[in-house]
This record gives sequence, C-alpha cells and structure tokens, in this order.
Amino acid sequence: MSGINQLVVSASAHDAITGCARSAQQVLAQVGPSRLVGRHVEASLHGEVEELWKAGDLGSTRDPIVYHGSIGEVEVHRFLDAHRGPLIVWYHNITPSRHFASHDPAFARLLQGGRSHLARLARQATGAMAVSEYNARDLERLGFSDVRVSPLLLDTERLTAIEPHWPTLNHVQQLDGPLLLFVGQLLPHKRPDLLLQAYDLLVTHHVPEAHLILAGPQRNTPYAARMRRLSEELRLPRCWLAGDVSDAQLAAFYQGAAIVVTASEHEGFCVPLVEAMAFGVPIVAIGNAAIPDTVGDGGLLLPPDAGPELLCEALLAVLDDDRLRKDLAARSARRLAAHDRVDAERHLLSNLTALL
Amino acid sequence: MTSEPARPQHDDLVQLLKERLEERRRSGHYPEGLESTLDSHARWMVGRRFEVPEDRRPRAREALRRLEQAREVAAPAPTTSRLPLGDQVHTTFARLQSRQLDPVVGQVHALADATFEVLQAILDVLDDPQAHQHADLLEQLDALFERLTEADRQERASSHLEARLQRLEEAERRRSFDAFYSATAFEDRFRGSQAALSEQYTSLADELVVQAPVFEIGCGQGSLLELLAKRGVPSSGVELDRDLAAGCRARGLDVVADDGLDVLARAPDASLGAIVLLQVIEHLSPQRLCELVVLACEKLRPGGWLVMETPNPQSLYVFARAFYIDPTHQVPVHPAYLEFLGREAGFEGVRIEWLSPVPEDEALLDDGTENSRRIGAVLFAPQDYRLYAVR
Repeated sequence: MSGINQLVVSASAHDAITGCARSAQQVLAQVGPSRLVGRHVEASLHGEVEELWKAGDLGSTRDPIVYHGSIGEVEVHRFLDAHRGPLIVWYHNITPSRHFASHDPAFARLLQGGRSHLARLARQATGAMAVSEYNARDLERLGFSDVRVSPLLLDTERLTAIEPHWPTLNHVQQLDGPLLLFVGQLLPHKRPDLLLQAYDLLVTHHVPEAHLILAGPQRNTPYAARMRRLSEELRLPRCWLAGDVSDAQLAAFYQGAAIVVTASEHEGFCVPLVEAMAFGVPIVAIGNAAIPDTVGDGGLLLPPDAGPELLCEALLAVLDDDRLRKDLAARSARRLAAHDRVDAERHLLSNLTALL
Repeated sequence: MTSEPARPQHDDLVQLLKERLEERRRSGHYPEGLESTLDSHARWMVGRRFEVPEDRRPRAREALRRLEQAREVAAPAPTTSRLPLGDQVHTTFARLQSRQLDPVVGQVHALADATFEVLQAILDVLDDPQAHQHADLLEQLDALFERLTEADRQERASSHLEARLQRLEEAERRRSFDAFYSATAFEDRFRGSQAALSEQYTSLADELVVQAPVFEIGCGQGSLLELLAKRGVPSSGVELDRDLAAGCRARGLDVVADDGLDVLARAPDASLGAIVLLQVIEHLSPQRLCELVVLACEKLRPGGWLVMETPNPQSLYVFARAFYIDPTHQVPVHPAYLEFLGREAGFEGVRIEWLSPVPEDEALLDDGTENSRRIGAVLFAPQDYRLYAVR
C-alpha cells in the first residue's frame, strides 16, 4: 500500500465536501502519498484534484480509497464496482429523492440511484464513516454496520480570517432593521418556502423593518424562479434572494446578521450553522435530520413539525428579547468548540487506522 | 461526536413559544386558518410537494399488543357458593359447560396464537430495514436509474449537438464562396491564356517524363496534363470546379470533378510518380496543407516527386499585383515553412525554384547602389516559387 486515496463526485472550490476532502488530504499525506480524484472537477481545482477519467490507474493500484458519498453518478458507480482494493465510505448524506420528485425528476433519479448504489456498496465496503450521528443511522438503514462518526473537517477561518467585502458590510450594517440570514442552496428540501412564510408573518404582524437574505447558489433555476415569485406575491421588498456570493460577501452577511435561520427539512450536516457559530450569531432552526447533532445546545431548535407561525414566534422572541439573543449568541460561539478541526482530524486518523 | 441532550430551559422556551402562539390564535391576532391558507398558497406557488404517507406500523403494533392481552386466559368462573349445595350445583354446571365449551375455547386460543404469530412476523419483517432492500431488485433498480439518467443526459446532449450543428452549417454557408461567374472566365482573364500557360509549363512537363504516373490536383483547364499527354506520360487530374473538369474531359484528359485530397486518399500507397499542385496550396487552410503533404508522402513511390507552385510571399510586389485578385486565396505559404513541412512529413530531399521574375519595366531601376539592391530584393523578388520534394 503506497497511500490512501480519496474520491469525490464533484469538486468545486466553495463546496463543503470538497473542502473536507482537501483538508483530509493534508491528514492522509502523513500516511503516505495520497491522491484526490473527482468525477467533475472545477477548472480552478485542476492540478489539486485529478479528474477520474484521467486517473485510470487508480483502480488498479489496490490502494485504499475513501469515497465521499454525496450523490449518485454513473461513472463513479462503475469505477467503484470495479475497484478491488479496500474501500471506505465516508457518508455526507444523499438527500432523499422524494424532495425532488416533482421539482427535478432527473436529479431525483440521480439521488435515488446514489442511495441504491450505496446500499449495494454495503456488501463491498471495508468500512464506513459518517460526518454526523444522523448520517451514521441513515447509513445503517442502507445496510451498513459498525458505522463510525468522523466529523466534517471544516475550515471556518476561510470566512473569519478574511476581510469582509466592505461595501456589503457597510450595506448590512446600515439596514434600518434586523437582518435574518439563511445560507444554503435554494432547493426544495431546504424549505425556503417555509422560511419565507414565517418571515412574511414576522414583517406583516410584528417587525415590519426586518430584513431577510437568502444567500447560496440557485442551480435549480425553475425552483429559484418560483421562490422569487413567492417573495413577490407575498410583497416582501426587504427579502433579498442574493444567490451565490463570494466568501468576503458571506463574511459581511454573517457579521451583520441578527439571526442565522434555517427551516431545512433535510441536512446531512449543515455547514452554514457552524459558520454562524464561528461568527457567534444566534441560531434558530427546525430540528430536522442532522441539525440537532450539529447545533447541540448552540441554538434554538424547534420541533420538526413547526410551521411558519411557530418559526415566526421564535424569530420574534429572539429579536425582542435582548437576554435571549445574547444567551443564544454566547451558546452559538461556545458550540464551535464541538466542531474543532484538530479533533476532527484526530477522529479521522483513528477511524481509518481502525478500519484499514 | 454525540449531540448533548437538549437543556431543559430550551424545552421550556419552545413550550413558551407554543403557548404564546396559542394565545395569539385565541385572541384573534392571526386570522383563523392562517397557517393552512399560507400552506396552500405556497403549494400552489411552489408546486406539488411530496406527501409522506402515514406510517401505519405503530397502529398495527398497538393492535398486536391488544391481541396479546386478549389472549391471556381469563380465570375460570368461581365454583364457590354460600347457598346450601350451591358449590355442587356450580361445579356440575361448570363441568357440563366445559365439556361443551372447552374444544371451542381451545380452537379460539389456537387461532389467536396463530394470528398473533403471523402478525408479529409480518411486523418484524416490515420493521427490518434489510427486508425492504432485496439486493437483486436494488441492483436492477439502480441499473434502470443509471440508464434513465444516461438517456436524459444523452437527450440533452443530442439536442445541444443538433443546435450546434445548425450553427456550424450556417457559419459554413456564410463562409463558402459560390460565385455567379464561371471559373473558366476567371482563369482566362487572370491566369493567362491556354497557350501562355502551355509555354509556362513546358519545361515542367519535360521534367515529369521520368516520373509517371503523374497526378495533378487542381488541374484547372488541364494545360499541364495536355503537355504530359503529348509526351505520352500517363497522367490524371482532379478539379473541384465541375465546368473546368468537364472542359478537360472534353479534350480527352482523365480528370474527375472532386476534392483533390479525397481522390488522393483513395489512391493506393506508393503508387504515384509525381503529385503536382500548381497555384493551388494558397487556396488551402493550414490544416488541409499539412494533411496534403503527409498524404502525398504516403502515396508517392520512393523517388517520387511532390511539386507545389505558389505565389512567393517574400515578394511584396505579389501582394500589390496578383495575390488578392483571387478571392478564394486563403493565406500565402512561406517557402521556408513549406520546406520545413516537406522535411517533417518525411521527404528525403527538398529543393526550391524561383519563378516569374518581375518584368524589368516594373522593377526598381538598378542604379548600382546597395540601397536599391536591398529595396529591390524585398519589393521585387520573383513572384512565384516551385518546391520539389523527393520521397
């Protein structure tokens, strides 16, 4: 064995899974020469991440592969099926396809294909790791056993150590009302519709000057268009669907935010909440999927059946109550320690040592 | 990493929020049915969301629990009595009763036991995650999904390709040149008369006598082929312009109307003595020129010649007078490049002949100075050159 290699489906600069794989690369380099391979590699990462179609020798080396499971991909499935060396699945979660069944059937099929392929890998894999307790249970439901939790290797300094984009910072600091911030892709399972409804109640009945920013890529264009229409229909002029923003702009948003909020129905980890912790911003979330694992006692978690009214009530309570807000901010900042990068690296090494 | 248990204050807070919400609803702060109105509005706007069907397993478990309780054998009816002889009466009745009822009760018990076991087995299977993942079915499902996704992708790719093809065809149509005038008229006007061309190529025809068979690409009106025929040299030609090719054939020459490279590609390897292109390569794209030279090397027998005559870009006079008359000229080909190309393609020897000197009455007057010599060399160098590459 010359080293442990990693395989991701898509490698892009702002993607949390790619970030995790790149960080893991530094850890694995301590073991031996290690390669990071992706099926789809963004141009800016060429050189650092090899493209799968050019890395034909990877399968024949019989070196262990750590596969970051996040979505289905035909070529990746073929490659893994042919791989004869040790295989560790590191599970970031595959969103259940039902969330996309009516919005993007082709994408839903990819997700479904990914999950059923993962179920098949259960028989082939040498070992399995998951980035959260929730994901570990999910993986067990797919037929894996003895799944170890190996937390995501997070680089929050990417945002905290840089200078925020000053015009954006200037803008958010001079808003005439508190800023609620949602960070994440604009996709059905993140329930931006529920968030917009709660925000609608908040500005209609309680805090008319509140602002809402939804920052994150809008890859599903029709869905994003529907969200824009919903926001227009509800007449929410202070709601801004900001789309994909730079790290510097995101840092400015976090600095200016009164609350980081999510109504997401499905998360394998939810990185933006940890970013909120890095900025000490109070967190309000609905406790779905892995969110309770990630947030712990670091935020206000509502029960999974919470509707827009209860979410609005929670936002209002945090905005109105200084003590509660400060308490949540302090808890958010304290919770960051649970996602310590060095601890996560130690977990990764000890898990790999035990599994290989 | 495990999640810490939620702090009690946290649960209290959520409870408090729920109470506040109830209070608002009661006090009429929110209109009645607000949440469901919002929800149906969002559904209408956002589109259908997937409804999770109710999990009926808990209900089945509850029914199973009740069944289990009902199975418990009830205590037999008491046979004691305070009345005189009451005990004996009760006991007798109980015996009589049980003779009738015991078999029926036994049947009911057996049925209940069997039902219980069946229900329990079904529920266990339903609860077992593995039971829902029949490996073969999953595999087939997976393959099916992969094919569907692949088909989706191919469909997208093919419609994309179709659009691209249309754009390319349109671009090609704009780029192609289809003049209303005949090529013969153009040749007569600018290339010189048939007689003048015959005179120009007499010496070349003499040289080619020993290089049969000769194949000429872009033979135009067939001046060279005619000279070769007169000398008894087996030769053939190809000409893109149909009218010119038909003219050649009418004069008994072996000429086809086609693309020169295509016809050459069909010739057997090492079968030709010479391949000639007179004033042709300046019409080719750089890529086609490369392909031509390599292909020619394959088709010539050892010792065969590739002869290419073209305007000399080292003479600025050429650009002022001749080169741009023909709108189908692509780029002039520099002799140094053509020589390089020949050698790289594998030709053994490459030699250049300088042709068509500028008429004396148009060239710079030689006043014997170094300056006029230098200027003359750049402005009035020979107008054409001919490259002989020997295989």
